[in-house]
Formats: sequence, structure tokens, C-alpha cells
Amino acid sequence: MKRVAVSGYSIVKPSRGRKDKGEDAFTTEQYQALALSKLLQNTGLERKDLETMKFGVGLNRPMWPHAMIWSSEVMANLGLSPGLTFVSDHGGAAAFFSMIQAYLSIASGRFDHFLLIGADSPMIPAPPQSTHRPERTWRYEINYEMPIGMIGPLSEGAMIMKRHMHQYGTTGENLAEVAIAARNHALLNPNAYLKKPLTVEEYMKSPVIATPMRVMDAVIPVNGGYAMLISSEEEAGKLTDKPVYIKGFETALNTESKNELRDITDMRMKNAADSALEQAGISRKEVDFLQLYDDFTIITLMQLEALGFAEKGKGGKFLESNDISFRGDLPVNTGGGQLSGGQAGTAGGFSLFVEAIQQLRGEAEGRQIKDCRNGLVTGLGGLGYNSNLLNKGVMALSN
Amino acid sequence: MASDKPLPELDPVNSEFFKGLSENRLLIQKCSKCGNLQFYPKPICVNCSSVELGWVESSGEGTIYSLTSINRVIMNSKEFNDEVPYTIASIELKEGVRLYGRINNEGNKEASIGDKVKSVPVQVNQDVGLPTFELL
Repeated sequence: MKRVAVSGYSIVKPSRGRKDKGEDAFTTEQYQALALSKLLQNTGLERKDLETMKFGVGLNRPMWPHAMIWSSEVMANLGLSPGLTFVSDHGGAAAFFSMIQAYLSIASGRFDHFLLIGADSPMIPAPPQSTHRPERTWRYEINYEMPIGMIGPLSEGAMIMKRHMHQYGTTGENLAEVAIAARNHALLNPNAYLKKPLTVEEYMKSPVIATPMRVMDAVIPVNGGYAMLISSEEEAGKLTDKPVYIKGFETALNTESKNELRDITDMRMKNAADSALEQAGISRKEVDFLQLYDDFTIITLMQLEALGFAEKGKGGKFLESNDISFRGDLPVNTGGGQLSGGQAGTAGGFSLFVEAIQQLRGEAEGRQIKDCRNGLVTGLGGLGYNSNLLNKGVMALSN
Repeated sequence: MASDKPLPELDPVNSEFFKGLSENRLLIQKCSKCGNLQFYPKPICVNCSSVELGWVESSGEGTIYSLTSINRVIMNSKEFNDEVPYTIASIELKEGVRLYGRINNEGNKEASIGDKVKSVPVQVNQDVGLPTFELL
């Protein structure tokens, strides 16, 4: 198998489409185009290089607009003629699963490059199917959740949070730590959306939408676009002197399919983390950062436990005695995560990968981790029915 | 004016469940081959992959596994705003499956994890009832 590396990336600054505040108001299609355009600039690739490259394209399946954007339509929009296209429907885990498909396509020798484009624009609503159903496509949500008044992932996440607090005594203060650490990182990241410092008092005063979940426990939705160019080691060497290698990965899909009484506070990612670390040949002590998919503060905390960095049920205690800032003993979500950086719909996971890439290339400016060599990035997507996330995975990246 | 609240999209797999609730019966899907109970209703037994599936009537007795009180309605019908705050719980039925339902706790004490509940389905129309529980 060939070694595979990230050879380039691009970020289109996120926005909430507030024209009244002078913000950009782009559609998903525009973000795809802008991400591609910036990637070409950043890598020095010429348009004509794309005519001769053996490459494929991977896309996330955006939630907005309400209709599917078919991959063929995107290729037509972008004027690309790749050898293979795929669309990841893994929700928040789209970036993670796209990375794996790119890796396998390149490692097999059939492709030299894969261009991954993640874009979504939840804040530019297209006409929805009805007044209250903006493209909710999970059948279990339509049939067993919405009719009784549930409010989507927020209400599912709230029940996970409540149960974790009940079983382990996790507190609002513990979760405030997660939110504040993310915000502090966002203040140092020019591509993060939220720029106002956050205090414990402000967290505690933020409205409770679905008990015990506060506004500050959830992501800030944004519009955004990202691109990553994944290449064989040989081809990456022609494009950059700072390749970031995909060293190991493992998935954890629908892990407790037969268990009706599963523990929803257990992410069950330990095996995936062990496997990714073993493939990469590194120990947990050699991990310089974690970029954890953070749809809610409780999910960040639960992953610290599930990945084996904190004991089960002791995520709160771990946060009390460890520093997760970029200067700390275990830096977590150094770009602000989705909690403060912004979640660009189903492309949100791309922000965690580009942050990992920036750290490993030494391009993280005011939030750069010293002597950064190895990191783990997780992908999560699809909050299940009476479950936690159905699509899960862990990837080890190294420079 | 007709209600704008969303209703389940009935299909051959789930219609029996919602019909049952409309008649005050809480039905759980049961595999005819291995006896596995599962929720929500699925087109196959997730335990043995048999497509021969039937139903058993639940005792309607259960325990609250987790819960949330909705204070603000987003991504759902605005009509639910008239009911806030309302409680949704994950109920662990005596039979060994969990499902989400509304907790009807008007005038009662606040619901908590571990509270015993019983099924009191609410009929919406002749084909659809919705899972609702009350504290014992």
C-alpha cells in the first residue's frame, strides 16, 4: 500500500449570511467553487494540471438546500472531469469518511490525488418542504420524534447529557470548561466565527433550550467551505514540503445494533482509538492534540472518556485537573471546534481536519502547539434513536 | 384550522404500531423466529435477520431512563410553542426496549430519571396515536 498524505487545503471564511452585518451570503455551490479556487491558489496547481492528473473528487451531502445536489451537477458546476466521484452521507462524519475513501483509492495505486470538498450553507435557507421540515431525512426522526414534539439533535443530545450527569455527577461547570476552552481557541483562530470571550457566568446564564442543554452547549451554525487535497506520498512531495500523513484510522459504525438497552453515555470508540494509534505506531502519550467532533459540549467530554484519555465517567474530573488549551498537557479542539469556530452543516467536520493540518504544518499562528508531531481527529455523525452517534471514527495524522 | 403538527408517515412496517396506540395499546415488534423485541419497528429482525416479524402488547409499564424538558421549539411545528415547557423521556419498558414519549405530568411532581411510568397513549386520529406516559 502506498503512503498517503494531505498535500494541500483551503478554508473559506465562515459566515452566518448576515448581509446587514457586512457578511458574505454564499450558497453551498458558491462555497464549493470558492474552496476549489483557494485550494488551487494554495497548492500552486494550475487548472491545466487537473486535465492530466489521475484524481477523484469526494463531496459531503449537504443539508441545505432542500434538494439533493447530485455529484454530477457539482462536477458540471466546477468544470471537473475526475476519474471517480463519491458523496458521503455520513452527516457530521462526512470529512472523516471522505478521508478514508480518498486514502483507500490512493493507497490502491489507482489514483494519485483525491480532492475533497466540504461545503454547506445552513444559514442560507432554500425553500423548505413545509414550514417546519427543513430537509429532515432520518425516518426515525420523522416518525418517532417530531410528532411528539422533539426538536432534533438538540433534544437527543439533551437526554445524553442528562443521563451522563445522572450516572457520573458531571456538572454544568465541567461543560462550561469545554465551551470556554473552545472559545479561547476561537479567539486565536482567524477562521473561527465566534470572537467574544466567554466566562463561566455567561455560560451559566445562557438560555436552556432543552434541559439541561444550554445554547452555549451547542454549535454555532455557519455557512462555510473547505477543500483538502489528498495525494500519494510521491505526488504530495511535488506539491508541498509539509505533507501531513494519514497514519492510521478505524471506524465504529452502529456499534450496538442488537442492544436495545445500550448505555447512551458510552461512545464505544476505545477499540477504534487503539487501532488507529497502533497503525500509527504511537502511544497516547505521544499524541500532541485531539480534534474531537464537537456537536455538543457533552460529546467532547464523552470522547475524552471513550478514546481512553479519561476514565469512564471521569471526563468532568479530567477537565478539572488537565489543561486542554493549546499550551496545555492535552490540547483539544485548538481551532475553536464547531462550538465556537462554527459548524458548516454536514461539512462541519472538515474544520477539525484543517485545524489538525494547520497544526501539523506549523501554520496555526497564535495557537500553534509546540513541537507538534502527531494528532488524533474524530468524525461523528447521525445521532441515532435512543443511541448516541451512529457513524464514528478515529484517524491518526502525523507530519 | 387543521393542525400543523407533524404526523408519522405511515408505511407497512410502522402502521400497526401507530394504529395500536390509537386504540390504547402499546405494541412492540417481536421476531417470530428468535423472539427478539425491538424498537422502533424495522423491516427485519436486527438480531437474527428474519423478516417474519409480529407484535406483542406491552404491559405499558416502564421507567424513565433519561428525559428533557423542551423550553424552546426549533425545527418543529410552531404549535408546540403553546405547550412549552413539556417533557420528553426515554422510557425503558418492562419488556426490555426503550422508546421516546411525552410525559403527561400536569399537576404532578416533576419527572426524574428512575421514575415509574405507565403508557397512556393519545389518539390523534383513527390510524394514529402517539406514545405518552404518566408518572405512577
